[in-house]
Amino acid sequence: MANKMITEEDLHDEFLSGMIRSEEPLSKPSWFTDEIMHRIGLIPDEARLKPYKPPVWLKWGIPGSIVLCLIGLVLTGQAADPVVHLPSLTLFEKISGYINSWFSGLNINVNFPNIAISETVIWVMAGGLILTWSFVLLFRFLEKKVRQ
Amino acid sequence: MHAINDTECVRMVLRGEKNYFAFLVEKYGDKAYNLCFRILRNKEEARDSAQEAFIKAYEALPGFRLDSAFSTWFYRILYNTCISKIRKDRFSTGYEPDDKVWHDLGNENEAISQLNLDDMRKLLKGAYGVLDPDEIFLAEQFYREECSIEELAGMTGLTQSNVKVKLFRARQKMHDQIRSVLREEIHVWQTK
Repeated sequence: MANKMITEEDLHDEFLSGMIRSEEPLSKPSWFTDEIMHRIGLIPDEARLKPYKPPVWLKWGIPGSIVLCLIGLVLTGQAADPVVHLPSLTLFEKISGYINSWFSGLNINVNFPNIAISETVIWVMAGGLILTWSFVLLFRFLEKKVRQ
Repeated sequence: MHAINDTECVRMVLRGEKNYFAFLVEKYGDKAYNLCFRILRNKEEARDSAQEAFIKAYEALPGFRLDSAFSTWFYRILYNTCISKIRKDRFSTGYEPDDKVWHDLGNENEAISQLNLDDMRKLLKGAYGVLDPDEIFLAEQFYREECSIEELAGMTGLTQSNVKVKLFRARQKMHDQIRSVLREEIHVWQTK
């Protein structure tokens, strides 16, 4: 039977209910509660689980350091070749142009469109992104688990 | 201690009044002990696991959402404690459920109509012997405590359709087991 076809009513069974209820429930030992309370008394308050909250430096540190790296890369990158002529501008180049013209007021040149990014840098950036998201997902998972 | 509800009790414990936890242990202790006993089939292990579940619940209490039912949350901890206990035992000692069948009845139809309490208990023991621990938990909560499918899903972390499938299978297994015991007994009775 497909599970969607099973309704709660289908599962009711007077015979099984009667049989299961026929068994008299056991009583917990008289010292059951006292022993638990004694063991609880031995637990220091700080040892109790609290919902996991990552420290602020970790929460903001990882994305912050990635953003800083990107900014550093943009500002300090070496131009591969000075661009003499750009026959057609891509959207990315146009945006960079706007950023450049904005930064020109600050006397900073953004070389990003012309930058020669090595494969290593790309791998490092990709690794950073994967690590960041792994941390984020891990935090969420731990939080969810602790709440359960 | 005056009668207070679970949420108030949890609030008091979270404020540092540890003694209020005793109220919850008293309220759910018997049920927890019984559930563990049905699943683990050993009184000592049942007592230890029920106590362990209460202590885990106490430790995890700061993470409990006060807008949900304490019982559902606690039974989930209890369920997980029993299941992991069985997994641990199975890994270390090769745990096998005790599936000894019971041979005490005569005619199948007649027997069912003439079952007395003692017979029922013996039949139940045999029927539980063929169930998996999670199926025993579901059967106990559904047929004895009359919990809804939604509540069972909350207690076990399974989806509602998964709970229904497991209960459906458990019910079938129990009926098959009871039938096979009765048929075997009829055969023994007829050959006498």
